[in-house]
Amino acid sequence: MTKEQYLQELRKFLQRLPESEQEEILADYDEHFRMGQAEGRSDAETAAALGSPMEIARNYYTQRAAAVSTPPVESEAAADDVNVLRSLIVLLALAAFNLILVLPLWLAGAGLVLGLLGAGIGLTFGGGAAITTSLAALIQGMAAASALSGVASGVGLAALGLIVLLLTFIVGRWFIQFTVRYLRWNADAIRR
Amino acid sequence: MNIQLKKGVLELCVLSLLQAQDRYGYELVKTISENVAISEGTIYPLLRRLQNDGYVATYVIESQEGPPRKYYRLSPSGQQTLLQLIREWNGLVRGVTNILTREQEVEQHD
Repeated sequence: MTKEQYLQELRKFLQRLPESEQEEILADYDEHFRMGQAEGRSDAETAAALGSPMEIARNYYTQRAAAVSTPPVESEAAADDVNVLRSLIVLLALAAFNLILVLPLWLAGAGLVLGLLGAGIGLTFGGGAAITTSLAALIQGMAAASALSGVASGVGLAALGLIVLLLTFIVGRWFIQFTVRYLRWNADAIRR
Repeated sequence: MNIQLKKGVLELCVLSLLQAQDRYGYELVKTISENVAISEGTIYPLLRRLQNDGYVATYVIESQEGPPRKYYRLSPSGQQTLLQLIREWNGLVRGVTNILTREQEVEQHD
């Protein structure tokens, strides 16, 4: 990822902050990239060390929500009230963030996994059906050559289907792990 | 490392690094990430919060090599917070060390 791509993505995630704050934040990362360049670090290395722009953006949102709801307090009871209020505001900020930015991405991912699953199942069963009909035709006296080519194409289809299913399994597992980790992260942010 | 624990520790690290001298953002990020396993991106939001809370102030200095540098300076209230965080940190480390050594002794007796 180049500096421009990284900053552009970060800007996209920071959109709900006031304009002036967005510019200040982006200037910090712009400086960071340029310092890295001066040291001979590639943009890709700097970007990888910084971590995902989405994660960074969320840091700004949660601490902003925390600042709004944490006036200086003396008594512990008042502090508890403020903590509840703070959690609530963090919850709302996260909810907005999740609905607007994360949910569409997540739905796209889920669609992809389901699509792969459907394709894998369809190919596997289609291949199986081709094999059985060809064998049935052979028994009923069809020419052996054409029946065999039917079986071969059936085996090919089924193999392709199994490969797609394997891919689905890998992608699906990764997707579920990501979802669980993301949800846990949210729970942590609220409980803080 | 646990997120909450890390957040508190990072604040302590940043304030402590600024006690000796003013530093620019990249320098802080480098020094901390060389010693503690973190994403470099977590430092800038923290710096911004410290600035909003009045613990640090910033100023920009032009540099001959590379871009202008935004420096961070510890404020008096940042200094106070640092002292309190150091006390809390030392107390925590002492307490945890106590528990860990006691548990080890118990294990050796078994």
